[in-house]
This record gives sequence, structure tokens and C-alpha cells, in this order.
Amino acid sequence: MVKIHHVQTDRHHVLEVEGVLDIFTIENFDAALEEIQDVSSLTIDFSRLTFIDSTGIGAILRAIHLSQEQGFPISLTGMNEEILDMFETVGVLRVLEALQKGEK
Amino acid sequence: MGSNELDPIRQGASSPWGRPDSSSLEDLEKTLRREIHLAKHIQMRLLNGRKPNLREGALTGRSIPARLIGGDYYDFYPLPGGSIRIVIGDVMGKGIPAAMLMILTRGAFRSASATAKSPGETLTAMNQALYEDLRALSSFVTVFCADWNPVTNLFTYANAGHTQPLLVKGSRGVSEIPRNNGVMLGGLPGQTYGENQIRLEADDTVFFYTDGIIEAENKRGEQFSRQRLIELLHKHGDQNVNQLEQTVVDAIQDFTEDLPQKDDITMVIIKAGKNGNLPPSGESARKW
Repeated sequence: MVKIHHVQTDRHHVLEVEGVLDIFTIENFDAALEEIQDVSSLTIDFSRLTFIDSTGIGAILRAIHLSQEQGFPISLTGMNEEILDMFETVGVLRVLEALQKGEK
Repeated sequence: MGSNELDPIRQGASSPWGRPDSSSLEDLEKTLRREIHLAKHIQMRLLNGRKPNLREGALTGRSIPARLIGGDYYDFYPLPGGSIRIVIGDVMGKGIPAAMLMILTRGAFRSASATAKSPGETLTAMNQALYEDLRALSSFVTVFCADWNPVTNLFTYANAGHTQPLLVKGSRGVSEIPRNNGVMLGGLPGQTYGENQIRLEADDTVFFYTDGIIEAENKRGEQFSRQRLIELLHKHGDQNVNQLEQTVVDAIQDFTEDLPQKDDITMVIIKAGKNGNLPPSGESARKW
């Protein structure tokens, strides 16, 4: 079960992910991401995320690539130690850093 | 274009050439089932290839898909000079889509291993071969690759976003081998993957695994957890590789009470031989 809370302030969007982001819930996240229009920046808040699997990580990568393609900054916040460790192991933060530096 | 135009079920299962046939939905379902079982057979044959014969030490591997077919992968590739190249990988997602990418990953590994001189070079070549396809499909693969010489017990490894294996030193405990994280395959183009090297001692066990093991859930929603795995390996680290493999499978089944699992479960276990022990290199490892 996942709930995606979408908060918009001017053109800054925040997607707060609450619950489990996995293969069974990913459509909700993808739908929320698709609904975002007219964006100057995007924050994805994981403070209420309880579990993420590889499909969930794939969705985060899609959001990162979308930000690169559409030219807006993206930030990932609120990760607990376990999820941060997973992002570091898989390389999510390295991809984000490289794309924000414009390396690729 | 209407949504029915490419849907054989809504079209009454007509043939691709537009000629009406007598296939019922039941026949179509049977055909799909047969094809899925054939796909499972192909995957199992490719996954459970011949294990190399070793003069020293031992190794084994097992993959249990959560569905009929899965996206986990392991392989052994004998190298000139007696070393074995070991790979374990986890494709994003599950089921048939993941299985298709797993086959792609296997091809990239086997092809890269024919020319790559080290695990780092192997991952670099695999990422180069797979990046565009994975990026186009919004997918990725985590892979850990190691060259193990069972005679000298040199263990050289590189990592593309995969969970770091565990080193079991009998009663001296279980540790994670020193980290050298690289980006997952399909994450960034043009990546080069660095390598670390340790020297195993006699009877050391290295346990490679995918996250399906530690994320296996019981009816209360509790996960098997890395801590539980470490305690199990610590307790049974003196077993041979086949016994230890079965011990882990049994422990997961006991824990989950045979509840169907969400993710594939895969492990590779190697054990250093008694006669292949050269002096340890003094590499440090994180201990629990």
C-alpha cells in the first residue's frame, strides 16, 4: 500500500511517498509523476517510506532522468539510514550527482 | 488505433495473418501456459549450468524464482590459469520482463568474460553492452563479479550496485567483504569499475546473495533480515557448501512458513580449500 501526497507551491512540486514502494504499488507513483506539469523543481520526500524494492528504485531513476530531460532540479530527502544505504549501494545517488553535474 | 486491435484475446484469438481459427480462449490460455513453462525450462537450464570441477575448495549456487521465472542470475566462468569468474545479479522487477533481461545479462557476462581480464573489466564491458537497452527500458541490473583462484585463494572483485557478499570465518565471525560500490549496470554510460582483492584462508566461506533472501517475509510481515542471515552463517559456517546452501533454504522456509515470496532468492557459496591457504594479506573487513 502506498500513498503519494502531491504538494505544489508555485512551480515547485513535492511528492511525499508514504508506505511501500514496490512492484505492486509502483503505478500510483508513476501516475503522480505523470500528472506533474509546469515544474521548476521537484522534491521526493521519503520520510514516510517504509520499504522500497528494485522496481521502486527504477521509478526513482525514471524521475531523475525526467528531471534531466526536462531541465529541472530534483532532490531526494527524508531517507532513513537503511534506505540511504540501499540508494548508496545500488548507485542512485551517484547517478543523481553525475546528471546534476551535467556529466552525462 | 483502438485498444483491441493488437489484443488476440479480444480478437477471438485469430492468427497473426488475419485468418480466423478455432482457438478458444481456453486453448490460448493453454498455449500461454505451455510457453511460460518452456521459458522456465530454458531459464533453469541456463541458470543451472555445469559447475566447474575444482582441485581445491568448493562452490555451489542456487536460484529460486518467486514466480515461474525470475530475474536473478548467477554463473561460473572458468578462466585460463585455473581461476573461476563468479557473477551474481539481480534484474530490476520480477517475472517474465525481468527474466528476459536476465538472459540479456547472461549473454553480456559470457561475452565479456571471453576477453575481459578482470572482474572490473567485465563489469565495464557489460555496462557498455547493456547501457542503451537498459536505459531505453528504464531498467537496471545490479551485479557482483569476482575472480577466485582456488589454489592461491586470491579473491578479486568488482561491484555494480549489488549487495556486498559476506565472509564467514568459522568461529571468528561473519563480516562484509570490504566495500567497493560502483553504479548499477544501466545507471550511467562509460563507467569503469574498480577492484579490490583479498586472500581467503583455509575453510573461509564467501556467501553471495540477492536481496530476496533478507527480504523474505513471514505471515506477520517481518523480514528474514540480514542480521538473521549473519547469525545463521555464523552458526553453520563449518558446513560444506551444499549443506550450507540447504541450511539457508530450510531456514527461509521455516521462517516464512512456506508463504509465497515476492522476490527471487539466489545464493552462491564458495569455500576455500584446506590446502590452498597462503598467508592472509591482512585485509580488514567490517565485522558484526
